[in-house]
Amino acid sequence: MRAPGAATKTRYAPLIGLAASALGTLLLMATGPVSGADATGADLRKELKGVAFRIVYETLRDGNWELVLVNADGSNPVNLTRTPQVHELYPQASPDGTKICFSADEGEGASKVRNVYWMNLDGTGRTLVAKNARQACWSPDGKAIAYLGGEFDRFTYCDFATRGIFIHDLATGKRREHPNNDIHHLYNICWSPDGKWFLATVHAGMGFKHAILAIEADGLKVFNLKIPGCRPDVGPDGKRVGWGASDWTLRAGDLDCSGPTPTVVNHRDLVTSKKPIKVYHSDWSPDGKYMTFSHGPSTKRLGFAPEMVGVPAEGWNICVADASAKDRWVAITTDGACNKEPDWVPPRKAGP
Amino acid sequence: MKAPHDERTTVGSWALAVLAAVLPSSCDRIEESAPLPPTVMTKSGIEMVVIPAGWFEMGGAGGRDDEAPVHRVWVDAFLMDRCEITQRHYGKLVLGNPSHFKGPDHPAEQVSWADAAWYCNKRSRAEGLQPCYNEETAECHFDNEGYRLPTEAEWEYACRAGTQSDRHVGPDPRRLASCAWYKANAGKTTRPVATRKPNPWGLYDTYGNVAEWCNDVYEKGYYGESPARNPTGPTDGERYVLRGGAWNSGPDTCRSAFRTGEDPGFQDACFSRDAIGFRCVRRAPADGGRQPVEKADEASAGSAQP
Repeated sequence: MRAPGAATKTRYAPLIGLAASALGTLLLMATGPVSGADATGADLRKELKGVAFRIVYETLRDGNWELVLVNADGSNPVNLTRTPQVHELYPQASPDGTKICFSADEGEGASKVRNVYWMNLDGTGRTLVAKNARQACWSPDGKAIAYLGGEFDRFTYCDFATRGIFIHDLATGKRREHPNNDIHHLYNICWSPDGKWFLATVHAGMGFKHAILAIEADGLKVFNLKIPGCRPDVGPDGKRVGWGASDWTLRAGDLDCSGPTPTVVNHRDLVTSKKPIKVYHSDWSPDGKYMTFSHGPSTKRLGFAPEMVGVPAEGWNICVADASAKDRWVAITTDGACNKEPDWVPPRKAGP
Repeated sequence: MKAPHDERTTVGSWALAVLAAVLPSSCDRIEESAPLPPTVMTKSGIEMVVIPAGWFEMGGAGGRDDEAPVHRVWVDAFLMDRCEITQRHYGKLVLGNPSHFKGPDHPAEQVSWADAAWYCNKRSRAEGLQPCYNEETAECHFDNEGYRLPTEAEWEYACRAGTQSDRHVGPDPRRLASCAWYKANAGKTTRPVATRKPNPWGLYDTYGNVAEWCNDVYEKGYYGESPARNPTGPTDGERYVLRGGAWNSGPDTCRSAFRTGEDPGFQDACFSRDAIGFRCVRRAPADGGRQPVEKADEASAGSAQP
């Protein structure tokens, strides 16, 4: 399989096949800096050389989506997948840094489907978690994977076309559904470090127009966090949340789930951008000091947005920001090869 | 942008069109008394009104600055969806209902301009028609036979339906409730389409329910420079035209001449404006709509003469 889908393949083939890398690089050069306005990119890059964590992300290589693992400064890229028949997307590293769960677009035409798998960090041991599923994340103890069910039998890139949260137990292979059977139209779920909450975006579902929600992991309560935007990510201490406040702003706030109603206060911008450069897909580093994100141009093209999983995004790159400052960031990829959905990979923990 | 065509559609392409009287739809719930332009049922099962060619006075003398000057505009014949696109019809071509207020016969909302244009192309392909929009550039090819969003002039001409007052039901805002779901009567939600009275040409919900995307870029001073025949709007700009007002609009917004602009939401995955929807238009058949219809009222501006 060489392209994300029949229709998309037709539309994007000329760009993907011939010009993705070159055009992406040109777009990057033409439209965006490689470091934040206030950053000394070289200093931050040097700082990142000493960071033990790595980053895994989705990237489009020769018409096929792959997962690539890099050091925090972008050095030593390793293609973890190399599967021309399958598009691997949306990687999420396990808390112990030994495994990755991800989405995989498989098949063509009417048989095309998005499934969820996990594999070892070196790319071995690929194991199916669920068919017609997407946007998985790990439980804090690394023993389970939560994912969203697909809303339709037919394939779509539409990010909110989901129904239900399901939890897959790695040890038993058994699946259970979240007790709230009204869950639908969620995307980008993440599991809080204390295991008590899912945070997710909802679009046109569950009675909401568009919102970032806190959902009880084992209960029925759902709260609107009342923060504008999408794609929340809870920090490693469970007390901070980062999200995309708009296409052009990544924001952080203090998350308090201890009271009767979860709240987010003390909002602060971490990364700001200007049209047409979008910033998306923020993810906290395991020590909470950095945030990785993706960064690239929007276009006047019709169709699915480039920030959606598996949608080509020419000129997009992976960046790392200092989470204690505003607009101190650096791009750690520069090829513009549709690099998106970065996730930090903790150092592998020693076994028992 | 290319100028709208006027007469290339073949009769053959309409072979599958059936008069609405033969195939009733959700748009037929209210009985009209005035003579109506003919309607056709498309392959997609959506009823369209054949809007006749004609001249009209575009803009509003007593309205906002962007409605002036009132100027005479010619519009070629075209077909326009009788109703706003419903969630039922949107869902036939697009997986994932983006609408906040759910209901198969409610209008689709939270649809960006880009999504609406994309829908037009999908609908064209579904019916074997040549799409109007270049999906890489969003450019509209008016000569193509497929579906597109109405130009601002087409929208106002169709909404006025030969009338010249603020609203096609007359200037008194108290009459608005008869033909529109708006702030005073909608109950903070959209309503099923075609459940208020249509305009004199049989179009439903031209005021209220959801504001409707037009194809044109919005520019406040455009009327001072727009061409007299088939204007297609400025060539570029940040915002696109919305017309007609919505469920949350007051009576001043629900006027034929009212115009505003909105971010078109190109590739905006989080577009969440639940008062915005659309309806589609396409070229009229070569033998359809060429003769201007009778004036709908004494104040009509519709005319066959330039």
